[in-house]
This record gives sequence, C-alpha cells and structure tokens, in this order.
Amino acid sequence: MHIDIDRFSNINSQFHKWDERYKIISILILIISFSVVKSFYLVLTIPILALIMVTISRLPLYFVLKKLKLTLIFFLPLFILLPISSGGEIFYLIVGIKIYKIGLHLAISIFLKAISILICIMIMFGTSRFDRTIKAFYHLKIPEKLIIMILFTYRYIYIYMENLRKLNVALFLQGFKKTSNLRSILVSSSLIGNLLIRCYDQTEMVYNAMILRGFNGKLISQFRFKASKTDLFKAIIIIFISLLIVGLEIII
Amino acid sequence: MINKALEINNLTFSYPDKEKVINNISFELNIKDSLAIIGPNGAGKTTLFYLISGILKPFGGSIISLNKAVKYKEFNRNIGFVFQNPDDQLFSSTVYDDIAFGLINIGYSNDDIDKKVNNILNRLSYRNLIDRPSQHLSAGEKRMISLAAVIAIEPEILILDEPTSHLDMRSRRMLIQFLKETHITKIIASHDLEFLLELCDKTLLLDEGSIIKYDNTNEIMTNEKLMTEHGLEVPHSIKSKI
Amino acid sequence: MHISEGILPPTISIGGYIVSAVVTGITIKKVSLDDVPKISLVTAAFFVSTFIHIKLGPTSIHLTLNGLMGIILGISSFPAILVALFLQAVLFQHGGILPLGINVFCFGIPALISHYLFQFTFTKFKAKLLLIKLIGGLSGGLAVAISGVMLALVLIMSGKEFTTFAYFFAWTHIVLMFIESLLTFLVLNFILKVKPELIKSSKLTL
Repeated sequence: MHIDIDRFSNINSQFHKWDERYKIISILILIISFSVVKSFYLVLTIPILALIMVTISRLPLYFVLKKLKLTLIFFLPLFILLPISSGGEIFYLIVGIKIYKIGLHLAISIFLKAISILICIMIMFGTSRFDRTIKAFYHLKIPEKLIIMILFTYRYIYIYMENLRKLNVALFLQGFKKTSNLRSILVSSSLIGNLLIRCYDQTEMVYNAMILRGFNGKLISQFRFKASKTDLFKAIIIIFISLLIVGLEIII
Repeated sequence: MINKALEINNLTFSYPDKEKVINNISFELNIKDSLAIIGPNGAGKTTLFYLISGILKPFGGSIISLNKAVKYKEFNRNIGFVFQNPDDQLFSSTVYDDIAFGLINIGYSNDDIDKKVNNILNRLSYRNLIDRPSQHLSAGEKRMISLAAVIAIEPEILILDEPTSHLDMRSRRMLIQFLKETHITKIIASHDLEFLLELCDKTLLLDEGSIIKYDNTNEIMTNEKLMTEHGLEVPHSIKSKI
Repeated sequence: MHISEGILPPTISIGGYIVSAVVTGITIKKVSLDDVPKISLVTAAFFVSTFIHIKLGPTSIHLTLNGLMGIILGISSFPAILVALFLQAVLFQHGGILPLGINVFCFGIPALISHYLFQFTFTKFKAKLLLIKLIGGLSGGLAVAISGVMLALVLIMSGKEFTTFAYFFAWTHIVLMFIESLLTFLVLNFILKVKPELIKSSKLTL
C-alpha cells in the first residue's frame, strides 16, 4: 500500500509554492466553511470549487481518485441507510421500499462535501513534503511532543509495513490462506504480537542511538519558514471564499 | 604521555539468560589504529561494542577512552558507534535532520550545522539526498547516511558493527574508500574478512567472550588452524597466496 | 469504524476538538520527552497492525485495538490514538480531519478505561496470569463496544435522520467486540509468553 501522500510534492504550482503555515490555516477555514453548508443547491457548487483547486494544484487526477476510491466503500452503508430511513417526505418508491427526500438529499450532500473536503486535505498535505507540513503545525502552536510523535510514528510506519509485508509473504510461501476460522485468528494475533515485540526491541536501540548522539531533549531542528506577501494574499483569497460560502448559506 | 584511544581492563558482562558473554577481557588500542574484531556468532562482538559505547554497564572491569572513563548511558562525543541496522539509527524525518541531530545537541549554530551537513554529504557525493526521507533510501544509502550521522559529530573513535551487510559491491567499495580517507581510530566487527584485511592492521579474535588472540591482522588471518578452530575461514585472497 | 468527513455539523466537530484537546493536554503532560520516541514506535506498530484483516465470511474487517493500546501504552494511549487517527486521515483518507476530535475522544476514552481496568487487575492479581489475560481480553472488547456506543450517540446528536444509521453503527461495534476480545486475549497471551517486559515495563505503561 502506498502511503506517499506527498509523492507529488516536488512538482510546481501555486499551492506548492505556498508557505505551509498559511496553506494549513486557509484550507482548514475553507473545509470548515464546507461543513457549514446545508442547503442542497449550495452543496452542489462545493465539488466544483474543489475541482478547480485540484487543477491549480497540478496533482494528477488518477492519484486523487485512487486515494478517494477506498473512502467511498466506507460510505456505502450510510448511502443505503439514510435514504430509506430518515423519515419525512417520500421521494420515490422502489419495489415497495420508500426513498425519503430528506435522506436522499442528506446522503448526496454528505458525499459531495466529503469528497470536496478530502480533496482539500490532499492538497494541504500533498503539495509539500510531509515533514515540512508537520513542522509548520509546530509553528502554529501545536505542542512539540505531539509533533515529534507524529514525525516518529510516520517514520516507523514504513518500516513496520515492510515487516508486515515480509511476514505475509512468508506465510504465503508456506501455503497459509486466510479464512474465517480460529487458526487464522491465531495467526493474525501472532503477527500482531510479533510486530509489537520487534518494535519494543527497536525502541531500545533507537533510544540508544539518540543518547549516543547526545540527545538531551531537543528534537526539532530549527526549521525556518519565510513568508512573503504572496502567501498572505493567497490566504486572503481562500478565506474570502470561505466567508462567501458561509454568507451564502446564511442568506439562502 | 601518549593517550591511548582505548584501555580495557578485566571487562566482564553477563545477560540474564547468558553467563559471561564478556569474560575478563583486557586490551589496549592506540590512537589512529584500525582494529578488526572477528569471531563466530555469539562471540560477544556486539556486546563488547555496547559496553565500549556506554549502552550497557559492565559487571566488572573498566573502560577508559582517551583518558576518560566511559560512563553508562552518558553521551561521549569521542566515540561514534554505527549500528548494524541503519533503521535503528536513522529516526529523523530527513537525511538533513538525521545528520544535524547530533550537531544540534552539541550546540552548534544553525549556520555551522548547515555547513557541516553539506560538507559531509559532499564528501560522500550524496548531496542530492539532503532532503530525502530515510524511508526512501536504498540499503546502501541508509548505511552511508547512518555513518554520516555518526561522523558528523567528529568522534575520535569510530565503531562499526557489520558495516558491509546488505551492501552491494559499489556501496561496499565506497565505504572502504571513505574509511581509508578518515584518519581516526577505528574498530570494526565484520564477517567480511576481505573488508577487514583492506582496512585493519590489528585484529582481535573473540570467542565465547574471551580474547583468543590479539595481533597483527596478517598473523591471525593466515593462521588456518586458529581461524577454523573458531568458526572462521582464511580469507580467499590470502588462501591463494599461501 | 470511525466517523467520516462530511457528516458532522461544525458545532459538534469543534466540540469534539475541544474535549479531545483538554484530555490530550492532561495526558501528554505525564509523558516525558524521553518516552516520546518509544511511544511513537509502538503507535506505529499499532497503526500497521490495524491493516491485518480478519476474515469473517464474505467480508474482512480491520481491527481497532484501542483496548490493547490502552493496556500497553497506558495514559499515553490517548495522545497515541490522536496521532494514529490523524495519520490515518491524512495518509489513507480513513476517518477525517473535521471529525478527528470526536473520533479521538470516542476511541481514546475507552482506551483509558481499558488501561485502568487492566492496571487494577494486574496489581491485584499479579500471579494469576490467566485471569489477567481474560480481563485484558474482555477490556479489549469492551473498549470497542463503548467506542461504538459513543459514536452512535454523536451521530444521533448530529440529526434525527441519522438514527437508523447510528443503531447500525452501534450494533456493528458490539458484534466486533467479540472478535476484538478474542484477539486482545490472544495477543496478550503471546506477549506474556515471549516478552512479558512489554506489559510489565513501567517505561511504557505509565
């Protein structure tokens, strides 16, 4: 599974050139404004805005779509249940099952908002190197311990994914096939136990490595962010659009 | 008075499930010496390194490095230890951050850190990797970058544990070249005897926690009886000459 | 299963962030900077473990393991869950950023409950390993069930249209409870056999 959210962080676009601190704040405000929208017709405009943004970001569409694919599976139960259970005005009758207008609107609304928000988040994290974006959060007053946890966890996820992949290959080569039986659950529990134990041993070594290089509490290298007027200008544009959306929602 | 790089006296250590992993070891090392440590698996090579670098606390005996006693879990800038597994040592988000880590702890200014990181990467011709996250490095690159991270703090003594494992021929050659050009005291444990032959004048043969022989590399590695007795073989390049 | 993007009204999203921020603030103060790398690695291991799917008939489910996280990481399991859910949202688009506060709260609090339950059992019945493992397993399942109920309540608060979905959500979690109980028990069994220090070590269990 490819984790590389920042795989295209080295291409060039207005989003790529944007100072990460301003980018984060602006996009956060934007997605909050998306979540405020309830009126159906305004909701329909949100994905258009998201598509414009992703075009400006030059992130390849196949990359964005691929990442969205899996999320849609998680939405399926919601999309089936909401239209048939929300109550209210009936929209349609299929084979005796009532499709309610409110439920249907809500399901479509949620779907469109979700996709748009996810696209914005992909832009936020996909147009800069991951560690830069996280270090920007530090400059936005997120506690240092959390930032370090995110960076470390991120770093070692790759290694453990590799470990898991190799363990699975070993199982496959020994003819193991996952089925719904107790043995499979036993094997899975051993995999998890194995991962945790190997990881525990590694924590000792990593800690030693840190002490051997003089670790004394400081963990974030001074990352220098420098903003320009363009960064502020872009922020103002996005925030203005956000306020516009909220304003329209209030009026409509 | 000449400083000894390392003075080890009557060193002993046991693990909870294994007795006398290091069994009363004594030896000395001069500054700028290159020492190879060889022996079968389980001989105690890595444990010895942990003790010398202060990661483990000896049960008995003393370790003195450049006239200073080695203290348990205390940062000793003079000793640099490159682990067998680079993933245990490259824990930062980027190559730059990993190399800068030690330098930040020592207290260098941001500009000095910049200069030193660039210097060492240029020496390795790896300047292009400076912003790369460690997970995107090949095995050879990881090995060289973990070496760079340790060398960056400019230790007087460099310890390397199985440095050529997982390296392809090119990276191995690069490592040999780099170590030849780095004129500090070196202690290298390896199964790659040809590698050790090229780099180390002195060799310590370790088995079951005891020193079997401490002599010139040639003396030990040409001794077929000695080598085979302790689970090793005479290196190919020498065999053909005998 | 966490709540995905687009569902929660902003008031609830922000409310979730506020409560999670408060609990994170409290729990992270107890974590020393020295322990941060260790906790992070274990978090990474848990993160990857959730990719180990269990096959159940025609579907596969992926595990939550918040109960087990509570047992192994102790109080630091709350910020650890925050980090794990954040990375899940950003790297894999599971869950989401706006519902992050709510998701963290609903998975984190049961993790803490698991921790205290296990801690209590462990100190009171030190030698009775089987009992410890059983209670551990049960608390693993309990954590998932509580999470499901909490999330279902949040869904109902978000709008009465979500009621049926909320019930579906809660019931799914209650069913998952049995599998997670079994799995937590088995993993605890494995660890106590192979490396008991992981659980008994005061380094990780704060």
